[in-house]
Amino acid sequence: MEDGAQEGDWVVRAAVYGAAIMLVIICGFPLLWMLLTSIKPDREILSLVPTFWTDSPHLHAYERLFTKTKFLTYFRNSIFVAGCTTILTITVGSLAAYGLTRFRFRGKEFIAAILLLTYMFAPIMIVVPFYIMMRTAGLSNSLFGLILAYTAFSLPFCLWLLRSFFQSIPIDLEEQAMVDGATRPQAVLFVVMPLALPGIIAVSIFTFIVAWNDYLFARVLIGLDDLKTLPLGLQDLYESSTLDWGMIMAAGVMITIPSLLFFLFVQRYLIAGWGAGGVKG
Amino acid sequence: MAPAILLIAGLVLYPVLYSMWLSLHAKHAYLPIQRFIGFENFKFFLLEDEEFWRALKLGSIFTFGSLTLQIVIGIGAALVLNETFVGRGFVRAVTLFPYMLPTIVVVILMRWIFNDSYGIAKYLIQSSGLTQTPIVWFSSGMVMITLIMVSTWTFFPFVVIGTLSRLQTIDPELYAAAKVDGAGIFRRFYHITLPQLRSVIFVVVLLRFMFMFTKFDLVWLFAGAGGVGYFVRTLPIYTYLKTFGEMQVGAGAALSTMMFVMLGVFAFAYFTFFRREEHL
Amino acid sequence: MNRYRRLTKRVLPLAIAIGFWTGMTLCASAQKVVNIWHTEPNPATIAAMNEIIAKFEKENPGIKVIQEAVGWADLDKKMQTALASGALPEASHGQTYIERSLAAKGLLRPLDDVVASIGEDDIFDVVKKLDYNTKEKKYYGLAHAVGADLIVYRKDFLREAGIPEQAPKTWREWLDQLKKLTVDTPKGKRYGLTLAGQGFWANEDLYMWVGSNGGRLFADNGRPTFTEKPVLETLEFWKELSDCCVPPDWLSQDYLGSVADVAVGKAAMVMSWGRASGYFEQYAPDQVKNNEFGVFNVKPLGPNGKEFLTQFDCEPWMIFKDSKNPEEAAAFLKFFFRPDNYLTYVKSVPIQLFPITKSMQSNPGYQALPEIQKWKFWVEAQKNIIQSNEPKPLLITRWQDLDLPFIAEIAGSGILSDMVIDVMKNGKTPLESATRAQKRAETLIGQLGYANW
Repeated sequence: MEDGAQEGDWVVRAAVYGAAIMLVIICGFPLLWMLLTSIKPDREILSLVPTFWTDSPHLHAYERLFTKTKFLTYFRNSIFVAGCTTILTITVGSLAAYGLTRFRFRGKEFIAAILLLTYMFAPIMIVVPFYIMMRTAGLSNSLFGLILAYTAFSLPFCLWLLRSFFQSIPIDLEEQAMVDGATRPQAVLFVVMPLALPGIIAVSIFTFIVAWNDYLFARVLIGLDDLKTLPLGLQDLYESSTLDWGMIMAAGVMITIPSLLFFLFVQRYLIAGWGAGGVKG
Repeated sequence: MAPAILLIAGLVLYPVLYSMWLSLHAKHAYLPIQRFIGFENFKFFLLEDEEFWRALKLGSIFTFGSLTLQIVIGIGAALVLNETFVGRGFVRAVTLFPYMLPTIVVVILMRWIFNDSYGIAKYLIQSSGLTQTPIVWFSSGMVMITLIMVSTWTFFPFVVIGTLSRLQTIDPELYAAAKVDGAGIFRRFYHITLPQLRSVIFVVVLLRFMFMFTKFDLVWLFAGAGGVGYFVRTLPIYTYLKTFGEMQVGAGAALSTMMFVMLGVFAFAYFTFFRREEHL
Repeated sequence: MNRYRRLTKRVLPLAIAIGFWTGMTLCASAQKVVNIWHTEPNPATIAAMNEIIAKFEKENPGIKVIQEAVGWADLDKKMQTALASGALPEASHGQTYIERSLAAKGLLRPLDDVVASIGEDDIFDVVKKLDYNTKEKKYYGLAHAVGADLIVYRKDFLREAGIPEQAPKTWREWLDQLKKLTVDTPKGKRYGLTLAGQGFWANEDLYMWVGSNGGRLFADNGRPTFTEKPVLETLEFWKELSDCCVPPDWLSQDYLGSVADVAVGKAAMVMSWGRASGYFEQYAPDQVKNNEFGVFNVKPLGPNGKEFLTQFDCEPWMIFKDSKNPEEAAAFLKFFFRPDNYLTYVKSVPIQLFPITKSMQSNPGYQALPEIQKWKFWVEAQKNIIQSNEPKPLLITRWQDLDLPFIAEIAGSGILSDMVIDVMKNGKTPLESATRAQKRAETLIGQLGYANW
């Protein structure tokens, strides 16, 4: 802001920088500590007097992680499940949200209200009947079952968010396109979707996180080592007979770095996405 | 439209209705034992079971404690991140990342940092001389506070995202005009920023309340159901204990149903009190 | 229209993938699939199982074996869900009391043929006693491997405190030792003993100590006996222990954490399984090299105790009668226990997975394992207990308790662990907290429909 050079703004500036530094420390220190632990020799890790820096850093923990465990498989599974969930949710979600805002039918408001209601059920309540259904459908121990589960759980929030995005896009625009000879799918694809893009990105991230983080459903549905997602694989490494702190921390770092880079890249879209209409006043 | 409704109805609503039906039964978790008992499960929890009331109390402490901190810190951080300063993109990414970490990583990491023997937290606090006696983060008296801190750490970015996006849509001219009128920073915040944030805060509080009240994995992985977990045995944990520990699926379903009703009542009251002309 | 083509392009791969999946599933079902669930998710054991499975599949074309490895607490949950849905694996590990209750409901396939293929005489007596169902005169389970819980100590700390390396005979003697071992060091306080208290670990120490104090947890008719004197004395002893000689965060300590405490010198003693040896090798290599770890052959007795009780790690294999291919699963278990394969298995966690057969015990291949050489005293101590004492599984103070139909529910309810916490942290007297636990347990057993008193 150009007109910000008033008296007193110095204090604000200083406060802003101070707070920003605090944020970086609070949010970033655990990550740093994880990183430092992962490159320490074993006996320095379990030391009653923690050393901050180590004189003999090494990457043995990472070597063990990649050679002795199926970390890469877990990682691939997680990316696959989260990716597919996101694509599926966006496809189904935008179509449904579009329908909710553009077509007239009875019970429209009721459906919108009930969407939020779904979050009042504790997931723990759903997991047993869900497993029974998946087993019956032959989808236990299948990543596809997980994708379905996560899609079902992220859909309500996504629908609800996307709905308000579509509401904020004037209907005249697509009607104009249709007058110009476009079919409805064309109008949606070329006129509506680009305008809703920020919302779609925000929703994608939310969905991705749901699928990326889940432990409960994966635990119940997946047992095969080759199908485990990261949270499962990591939990089992954590609980297996000889707990290898260095390796666990290395796994944490390997999971964190991609997400950090990802956030560095998408944060502007994410925030723009919410602001453009998601939670508008 | 139809596929979305089908997915939600099939995969979420059906299990929920099934659970509600189960709550009227005495059903064993894995043995073929099931009989209809009407509202006995509900009667037991409400009238006889002191553990239920304890879980409700602990769950409320956890939910309100964590929610308050998330909202306060989240809004504060969003205000800071809305200013322009050098390295803002980096600070934003770092601030948002705890939300991206899988819960299991958060728990392993925090158990490591707050470990009583090798934890850096204990060491830092001791060497800074803040306290004479070392803080035992996982002791019976402290574990709830530690849990609230950790849950705040990992979930406050959700509030940041919501608030920040709204802040960016506030017309800068509003501030300029207020400055001309001689309004200081606090008055500007109170009269411009806060009213603009009202609706987003309304939604974020509602969502986070529901998420925290039903939060299972973080609490479970963090402290478990027994041992020191006794001091953070919230309703979802108690539900788990009934269902998978005591193998009483019917009783567990009754607890979930009660949680659902409580949230429903809360949401209704919340809407009635705070929501006026705006609609979702 | 080209948009549609573009859309189709995007959807098609997904459709193909789904089709491929379905195809794979159908193809696989032409073979007989045996699903095996076990509780050893560490990489070495998973690899060992894969080796055995590959050999088995080669010798038995037409059978496919799929292993799923999940830590035992999670496996319990997984199995319950599977049982609830009727979609069972062919074979699984489980707790002995769960095996008994499933057998009582007629859900398990007897394993007498598996036992016969090993040779009944070759199996340690205490394992037979554990898995033989005297009512039906059949085996419904068979431990995959066993282990006994023992007191592990650091010799250097005992030397430092001037305590001879002798197993304490009574709780009193033990407390005296532990008090001397609790000292301030430059690196912080060192405690005499460390305990695991997270989750329901308290269940484990409770029943062992009650058993070592001549007590029981259930009467003959199944009614809980928590307010009996041996239980109250145990709680008193525990309180004294917790106040004087145990780290203040022990209630949040998991088993591996407690082992770590001894590895790094935060505590002088821990009650542990053999798998801790690997942990010591990793985090206390110097002390291992200097032979500073020791194990007591016996455990101390309470004031009423005549014989000590220690925990038997002895999860049985069981085969579900109503699964798809129970016979093939039995064939696999016979193959699993064949000496060459069994050796592959036990050597993956050698100190923990103590073999159930005498012949494997003296098998030169087993004896020659470097870990067995290095930790011989630990293996010998376990062998000694398995041959001369009668270790028992979780919450079983008397063999007959195995037939109580509600042990799993009591274990999972947290009632016993809460009883301990009430005394330790909530300022209740042993009698008050035992009375409360007794009431809760009776209510639970009543709700389950087993109150026969």
